[in-house]
This record gives sequence, structure tokens and C-alpha cells, in this order.
Amino acid sequence: MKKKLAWILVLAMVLSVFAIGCGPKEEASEGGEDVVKVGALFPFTGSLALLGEESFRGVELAREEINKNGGIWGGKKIEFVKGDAVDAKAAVAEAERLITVEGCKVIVGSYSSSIVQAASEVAERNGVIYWETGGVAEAITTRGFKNLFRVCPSSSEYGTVAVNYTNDEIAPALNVSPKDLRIAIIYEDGVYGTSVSQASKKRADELGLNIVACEAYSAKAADLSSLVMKLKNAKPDVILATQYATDLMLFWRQARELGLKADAFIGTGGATANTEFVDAIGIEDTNGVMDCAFGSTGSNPEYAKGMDHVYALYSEKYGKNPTSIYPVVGYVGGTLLWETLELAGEMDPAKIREAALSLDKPEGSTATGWGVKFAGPDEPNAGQNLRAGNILDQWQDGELVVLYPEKARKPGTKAIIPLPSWSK
Amino acid sequence: MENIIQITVSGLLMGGIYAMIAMGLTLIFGVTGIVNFAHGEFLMVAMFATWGLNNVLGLDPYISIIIVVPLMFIIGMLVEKAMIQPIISAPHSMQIMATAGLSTVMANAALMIMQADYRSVVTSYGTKSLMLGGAMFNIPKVVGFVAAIILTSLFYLFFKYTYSGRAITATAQNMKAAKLMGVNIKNIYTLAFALGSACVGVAGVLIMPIYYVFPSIGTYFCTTAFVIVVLGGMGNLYGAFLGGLLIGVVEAYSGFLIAPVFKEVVYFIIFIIILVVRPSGLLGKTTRSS
Amino acid sequence: MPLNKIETFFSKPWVKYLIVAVLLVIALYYGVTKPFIAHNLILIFLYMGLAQAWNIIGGYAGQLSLGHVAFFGIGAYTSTLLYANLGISPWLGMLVGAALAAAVAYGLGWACLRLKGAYLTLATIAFAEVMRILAANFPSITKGSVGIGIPFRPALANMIFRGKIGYVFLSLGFAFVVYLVCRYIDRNRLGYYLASIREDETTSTSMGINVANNKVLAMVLSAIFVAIGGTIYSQYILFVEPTSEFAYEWSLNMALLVIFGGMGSLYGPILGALILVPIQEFLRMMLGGAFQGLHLVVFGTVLILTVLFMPKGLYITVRDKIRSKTRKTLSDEGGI
Repeated sequence: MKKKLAWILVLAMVLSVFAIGCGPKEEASEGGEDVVKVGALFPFTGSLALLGEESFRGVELAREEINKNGGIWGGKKIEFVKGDAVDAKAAVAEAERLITVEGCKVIVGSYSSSIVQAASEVAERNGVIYWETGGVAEAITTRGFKNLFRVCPSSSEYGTVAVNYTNDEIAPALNVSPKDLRIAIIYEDGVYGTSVSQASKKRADELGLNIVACEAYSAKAADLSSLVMKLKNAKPDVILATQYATDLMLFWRQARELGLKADAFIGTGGATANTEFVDAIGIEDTNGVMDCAFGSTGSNPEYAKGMDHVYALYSEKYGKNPTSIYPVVGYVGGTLLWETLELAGEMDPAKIREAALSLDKPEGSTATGWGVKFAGPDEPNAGQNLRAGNILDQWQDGELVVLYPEKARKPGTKAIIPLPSWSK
Repeated sequence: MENIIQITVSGLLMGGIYAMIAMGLTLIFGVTGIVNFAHGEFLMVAMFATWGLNNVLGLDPYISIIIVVPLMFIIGMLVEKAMIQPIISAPHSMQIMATAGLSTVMANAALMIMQADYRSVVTSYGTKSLMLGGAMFNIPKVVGFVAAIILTSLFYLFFKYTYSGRAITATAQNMKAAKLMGVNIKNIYTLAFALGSACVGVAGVLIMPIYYVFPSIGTYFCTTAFVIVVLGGMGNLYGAFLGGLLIGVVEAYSGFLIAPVFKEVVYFIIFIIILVVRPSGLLGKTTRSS
Repeated sequence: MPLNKIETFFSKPWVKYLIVAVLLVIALYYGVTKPFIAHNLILIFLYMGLAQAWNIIGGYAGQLSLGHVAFFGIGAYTSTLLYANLGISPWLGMLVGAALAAAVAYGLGWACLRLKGAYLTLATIAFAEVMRILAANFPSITKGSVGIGIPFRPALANMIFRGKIGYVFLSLGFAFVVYLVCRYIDRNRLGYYLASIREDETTSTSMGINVANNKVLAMVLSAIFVAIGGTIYSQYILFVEPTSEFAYEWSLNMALLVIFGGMGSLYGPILGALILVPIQEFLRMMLGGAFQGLHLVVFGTVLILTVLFMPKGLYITVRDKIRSKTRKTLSDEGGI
């Protein structure tokens, strides 16, 4: 019995080896005239799955919407071919498949910086457009790629906004000279935390600010008390933290437990703006916490047009509110891509590139508040959306309130500085 | 001084959590000789079960222990019967591959069913802590610590005074002799594996008030549990308890004195050194021969 | 059934060369026509080389290491750093990386190889983890988690090729070289020593085999080729970062292919790579988009089933089957 099963197993495997050669070809011939195929490359499994899936949901909402509204080019529907990019190796394989087997001329992706770097290399070599919505590493757009477009801002934007705000607003509010302000930077040691914190550090050094601690930790750590104790010893006035969601909550719980004090806390990344953060830590203790991110639900509706709309679409389809800004980012990236495709008129990378470069929208014209103007191929950051900027917001009584930029700020908002002490 | 007290307390409390997780692993290894690479995923299942009971029935995590632990016992039993028993005398490499495969299956099945979202159980006591002698004691962690002590004591009594317990000890010491004495080895293996799973079930329930659960949570605790098990001597329950505390403290101090990011490096190096210098672990018996 | 004929057919030396030649032709054909297939071929050959290299210590010597990714990462990082910072050709960097990996393997071998069974496995896992954390947290040398991009300057001297075909041959060449080394080991004293060590260390010592030296030698040889594989991989992906180059999955996969194919056999790892790598890619392709994680559930199940029903691995199971059939036929004939 066992042996028979073993043989069946072997047979099945040999068959599937052949199937790998034959399978996808049939699929490729599917899809009629009325369908435009776009590759969607995100990490759907593995440790990046949560925000990878969230980002995908954003572009998926944008896709459903455009299809409901009649598609592009007078009635053609957009169809996604999904690729699961668990890591860089899988990203290359999946990009290769989307391009050469499925025949995609455009790939939209991909949330994680390392996945973009690996997969866009493949796209560039094959002359296929890579449309990035969420990866922040600086290096993505400094390689001079012609076919890569990044809708979201790069990591340097976090550093600039958060550190400038510290320098220009927080220091005066605390009545100290910026140079005397004690700044601590903490970050998870993955590519996201490292690149953002490096940008903050660089900007702080440029302004000659005093960094008293710069500590990395693993987002997988089960205990962060030693990090909190270390910070306590450094006595920072301002803490800049790049964190994912679960480690953020762990950090805050332990910070409260051990009585860590600071006058300002800025989360440089999206996690601090999640409603879960307030649910877990409470309205009182999150009061005054700042967050620097792609966009904010607390933006002036005049600035971030359609943020509510994305939230409504999301909760309608998935039965809850987004846990991060990534669905909105994905949605913005998606709608901009459809617009570019419409403008290009056909699935020709050269024309799409031309159309993308011709986009010219002022700040405040998308759901995140970004404008659109891509850097040309000769510029050092080719393909970067130059009008994508970060905002800085703050939790006030359980609501997000935007403090920066001026345009996104609702009239009459005041910043809470310093942070109130812990509730009892 | 204040720092030293606090760091020691934090380390010890965390160590209690680690010890609870490691105990199941070491029990399984001690008796069956199998290193369960899916141990972290068993923890994940227990945590999801706790979350589910809270979410659907509104059960407090501490009450749901009466459902989750038997459930984990049964799951452990089934897994042992289905896939551990057939490979019990296979080479180590096969056993490791089988449990590593199980770990992949469990983590990704959870991903399929539950998605990658992180979920938590909100309790009134989850973030409460106690100020005592200049240090803060997180209440759920204190509960975990006490539970680890109770668990160790219960196992002590079980091994000493019950037939099954003594049969397990006998099997762990000398399988052939135990067999000759009329112990049903197959049942003992099943029992040990199920007990180990129940043990990690306790851990899963007790950490739910402070942690989030998501499909890949297992990997967060798994390597630490391995280190502790080796440190305490594979198969030694009391060793696992002490090893847990030791790793907790080492982690807290190395994070504070060196850098939070290198705390794993520190205990991995200690781990390798102990393996090389004293492979049987701090409290270990002689190496088990397969 | 003419199974004995198949057996004798496959044992003829020219058959192997024929198989390699056929593979080459297929590779060439697909490499030119279908980049996606070429990509899979590259992965298959790369894994084939890695699995064979792992087989030296894990299969022949029976020392189950799950930390070989440490050597892989050393190879990838050494050549990349030398090339990106100093412009030294990756061909040279590959050799430097291999030498470095050999040195590390020598040290690790002396420290850990006297451990048995699960202890050794855990020690090697811990070692690889340490390497990953170090690579991620010394940004002044490794650029940390941000990783290093390798500039795309296609040239043979840079080990960077414009199309896939160059990489297909590169990885095939790699797999073939490792095959030759393994064949040498398989047929010479070292192979017998290692097999003897695997079966029984005490007896081996009493027979005059220097157990420690031979194990370390196997570890060093294994590490050298895994490091070379690391260089080839990084030159292909053109991007190195700690989480990919030091990912535990590499170690697990190397071991997996060998265990599936047949530990300590010359053809086991080759068979393992030929079958499992396409399956893995195929599953992700077919199921990855449908349900999150389904393809890995299936893959894990395949693994468990293999261990349960084919514990000796595919190659050895099939070989034994053929042999026992042959023996039966022979004895039947003898009976008549």
C-alpha cells in the first residue's frame, strides 16, 4: 500500500515537471479582446504578507472601480495576474513569469523595498513598466531605470519631514534651542526601518542636531524592555521611531510600564497612525503622539481628496477599516496607473512611459494628497514622483489631526507639545 | 541600581514565558527523541484558539485554558499518531524534515484561513502592572511566571507519583528496558507528545493577553525555545525552566549593555559555546543515543 | 520487465554524458526561446549544485547541517562587496568568498562537528542566524538591511550577462563541477570514510579512520561550493541583502532536495533538484495567486508524505526497487 502510494507520488511529480512547461501557455491564450492584463506583484505569503496584501487590496479596489466605470480605452476591462513575491528570489521568478509567460507589459507592485529592487531589474531588462506604489528605499530610483515609476515618496522624505518638524516646531514649543534637544532614533533592523532611520539621521546631522541614541532592534523581538531601559538612560527629549505594527504596540506597552518619558514621539512610518494603536494603548496615552507617513485620515478633505472614499470602498468589500495607509497608497497608485494607460492609448511601454512623464498634477490632487510629476530619465532619481510628500499628524483625543504640511492642516488645529505624562 | 533591579525583573518574567514554551519541546524530545520544528506553530494554534474563544464566545483567556489545553492535547495526540509514530525510529534527518514540513503546512494553512492580520485579545488586566521594590511587574507576565512554576511542580508530581509519569521517565531513560518491563511504548510516545502540545497550549493561552497572534508568530519564539532546551539539557524539564530564566536575563542584560539588536547574537553564541563545551546542557543527562 | 536492462543501461558511462548533453540542448533551446523556463533552469541547476555540495557533509558524512546558508551568504557578500567597492571581478571574488567560507567552515567544523544529531543541527542554525544578524547590523561594511545593488554592466569578466542564457550555462557549469567533485568523493577513499563515519563513528575510529579530520574536510569542501553558489546567485539577482542571502529557507531547501532525492547518493541531489525545484515554482505559480499560502501547504504536505512513504529518498528507493526486481528475475531464471 505504502509503496503504491509512493509510486503515485513520484508519477505525480514527474507529471508536474512537464506541466510547468505546458501549463501556463494555455492560460496565456485565455483572456479575450476586451481585457487588459496587468501584473500585480506583492508578497502574499511569508513575513511581509500582511501589508503586502493590504497594498494589493488598494490596487484591487482601484481596479474594480475603473472596471465598474467602464474600464479604459472605451470599455476594456483591466485584469490582474497575481504574482506572489515572498522574497527577492521569488520576486525575480514571478516578474519573469508575469512578463514572459503571461505577457504583461505593466507590473504594479509591491510594498517591500527588497522585492521592488529585485523585480524591477527584471522589468527594466525586458522593457516592461514597473509601477511601484509602496517601497520606500532610496536606492530604488537611483539606478537610472527608464521603466520604473514610483508613486510614493522615498525614505528621505520621512527624515526630512520628521526632523524638520522637530527643528522648526518642537524645539521652539519646548523653549529650547534645537541644538540642545536630545534626539533618540529607534528602528526595526529590516530594510524599511534601516533606510528611513538613516534618512532621519542624515537630516539631523545636516541640521547639527544632537542624537543621543540610535538603536536598532528586531521587529520579531518578543521583549523590548531592554530597548526601553536603554532609552530611559539616554533621557531623550524627542524619540523618532520607525516600527512595524506589532513591535510598536509592544514598545509602547513596555514604555508605559517602565515609565519612559519624552517630550515628543514621532513614528516615522505608518504604523503609529493605525487605529489599532489607539485601541491598544488607549486614547489618553496616545494623546500627543505624532506620526509621519504617506497620508493621513486627518487631512483637510480639501487636500486629500477621496480618502474617505477609499475607506468606504475598503470597508464595503473587506468588512472592516484598513489597518494601515497602504490600501490608500495602493488605490492612489492604481488610479494613477489607469489614468496613464488611458493617456497612452495602448499597451506599449514606450507610450506608457511617455504618458507617465507627461502627467502633471499639483499637490492635493490624490487621496493621499500627493501631486504627480515623475522625474525624467536623465535625472538622478529617475521615475520618482517628485510631488509625493509625507505629512505629519498627531493623535488628539483618539482622532488624527494633521500638523504638516500647512495645506493639509485643518484650520484651527493646534499641536500638543510636550507629550502629556502617562495616565494612571 | 534601579536599572539593575528592573532589568533583572523584566528578564526573569520574560524567562518565565520562554520556559513555559520550552517545556513542551523538551518533554517531547526527552521521551521520543524528536526535535519538533513545528513547536512554534503549535503555540500559534493555541493562541488562535484562545483568540477565537474570546472573539466568538467572549471567554476570558484565563478561563479558555480549560478548553484550549485539552484541545491542544488532542491535536498533539492526532499529529503523533498520524506522522510521528511512523518515523519514530527513522534517522534524525527524516524526523527533522517531517516536522519542518509540518511547520510549513501549519503556518501557511493558518495564513490561508486567518490571513496575515494580527489579532489580539483585549482584557482589563493586559496592560496592568505592579510596582514592587523599585521594579515594575507586568501582571500577565507574573501570571505566566507563576504558571511556569506550577507547571514544573505538576510535572514533578506526575513523574514521581503516577504510573504514566513513571512510565514516561522510564521510557526516556531506557526505552528497551521500559518495554521489557511491560510499558506500552507506543502509548507513552503518544502521551508525551500530547502532553508537550498541551504544555505549549498553556503557554499560548497565557501570553495571549500581552501578544498578538498571526500565522508567523511561531518563528518569533521557536529559536529561543530551542536555545533554552539545549541550555537546560535536552529532555530535562527543570533544566528548561532554569534555562528559560537564564536566557530571559541574558537577553535583558545584553540588550541593555550591548545593543537590543545583538541580544540574539549573545545568546546564540552562549548557546554554541555550551553545545561545544558541555553538549548535555547545564542540567543535562548524558546525550541520548538514538 | 526488462528492468535489469535499464539498470545496466544507466550504469554505462556514456549514458551520463548523453544525459548531460541532452540537458544542455534543452537548456540552450529554452534559454533562447523562453526566459521564464530559462529562469527555472537556472534555479534548478543552482539548487542542484548547492544540494550536491550539501550532500558531501549532510549526505555522505551524515552530519545534518541546517546552517549552510551562512556559507552561501559569505560567498554572495564577499564577491559583491569586492566588485561593488573595489571593482574586483566576481570571478576572483568568487574564489575569495570560497576561501573565506572554507576558513569559516574549518573553524565551525572543529567546534561543532563532534556534536551529534539534533545538537549539530541546532548549532548550525544558530551560527547562520548570527551571521544574518551581523550582516544586517554592520552597515558600514554590508550596508545593513538596505542591501547592495550590483550595477548592471554585462560582461563575461563581470559575471553579468544580458540574457538568461549566460546564467543557464554558468549555473549548469557550477552543477557539473560539483558533480565531478562529488563523483570523485563517491568513488574514492574519502567517500568510503565518510560513509563509514555516517554509519558508525566508533567503529570507524577503531578501523583507523580519522573521524574528526574527515568530517571537517567534508564540511570545508561542502562550504566552498555552497559559497560559489552564493556568488552565482548574487550575480544573477544583482542585489544582496541579509534577509535573502542569509534566509533559513536556503539551508532547509538544500537539505530537503537531498533528503528527497536520496542522502549520500551521487544522483539523489540531482534528482531532488530536477523534481522539487520545478514543483515549488509551479505550485507558487498555479496556486500562489488563488489562496494565500496554499502552495506552501501543498509543498509541506509533499515533504511529509515523502518522509513517511519514501524515507530513503527517491533515488535510493527506486534503485533498490529495480535491484530487488532484478534479483528476483535472476533467481527465477536460475530456478528454471
